[in-house]
Amino acid sequence: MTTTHKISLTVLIAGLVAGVAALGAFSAFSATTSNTGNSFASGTVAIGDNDGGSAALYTSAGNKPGDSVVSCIRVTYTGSLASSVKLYTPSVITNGTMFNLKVERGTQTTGVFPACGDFAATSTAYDAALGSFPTTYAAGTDGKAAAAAWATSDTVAYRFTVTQNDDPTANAHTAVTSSGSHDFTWEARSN
Amino acid sequence: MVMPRTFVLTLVAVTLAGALAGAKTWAAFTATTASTGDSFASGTVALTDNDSGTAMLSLSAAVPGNSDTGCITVSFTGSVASAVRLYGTTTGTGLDAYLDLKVTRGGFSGAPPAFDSCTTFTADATDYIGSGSGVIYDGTLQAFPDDYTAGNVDPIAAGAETWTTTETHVYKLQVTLQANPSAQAKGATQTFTWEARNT
Repeated sequence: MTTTHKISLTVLIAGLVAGVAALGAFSAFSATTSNTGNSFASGTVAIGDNDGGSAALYTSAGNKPGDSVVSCIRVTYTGSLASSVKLYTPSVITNGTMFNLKVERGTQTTGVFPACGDFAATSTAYDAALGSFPTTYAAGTDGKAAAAAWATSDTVAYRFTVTQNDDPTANAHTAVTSSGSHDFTWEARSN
Repeated sequence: MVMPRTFVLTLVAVTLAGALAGAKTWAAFTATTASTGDSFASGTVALTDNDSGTAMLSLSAAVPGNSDTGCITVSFTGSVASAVRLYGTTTGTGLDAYLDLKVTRGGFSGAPPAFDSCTTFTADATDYIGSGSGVIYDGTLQAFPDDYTAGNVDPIAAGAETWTTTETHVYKLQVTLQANPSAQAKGATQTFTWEARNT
């Protein structure tokens, strides 16, 4: 009795296993189709100038009223995205009211930095006290007149003229007044 | 009834969050180029003398013909070439009309004496205005110019000296009371100013 009962149980278990296997064999038909090779990449924003990396536009000392220094720099946009370029100084300028800065935009094909060669002005970007020059991108002076967009390979030449302002105050210049070292930054931001 | 309402609210919240995230991610690409180390500085204009703040001429209870003489050394210590003019202001009760002033430019031939001694003073060789070697002013104190505009160009208007750093000249000033009865009981106080302006 005992043996027969064991066999019956074994058969029942095997039948159950077979039933599960049969269920797996009934998979659906399938087919696929593909569209391959898709990609997405960023555009570029890049800007450079012709100052050789670190040279100053001007370092001028011993000036008297009316004396000025004139230097030029060419800025070229090499990015692929249309951008807005603005010019500002990130520096703290001292005695800023003592000096006037005029920045003109124009074209230039000759002259090695910082010489101006055949610079021809097309518009004035700034003409006021050196100390009032904007210090942020948001407040910056437009790289192109009317804030026009920059496209790949666009080049604008800038002529900087810094002039010693007059100051007839007696004994006001028995010591040197200096602007201190300052930088100018052209920043491009994609539109 | 309760379940559907909760579902709708959740959807709205998700949509708003998505919109906010979208706005934040639209930052622009940026690039910069710069000109660095720029600087611009003034030169200097500075003129000093050796009087240490004391007067160089004094006449008191003077009688006609009395005079006083003093010498002062004026040095340019600025860096920007300048022209110098001499002038001065007068106060008092009108004696300046009766005081003759002679200003002679020169130098000390030996060691500089103490202010306001004129020992070893040697006048410039040039007779600038026809009043003798080195004389640059010869007239009444009243007629002496009062301001820079009218000032006595050093040493002479027709040939202004361009003063450069460390240039020094000595000026001998002599005042003499005229023999004029109208000068009685009057006084005058004078300031002499040398002013340098860059050229």
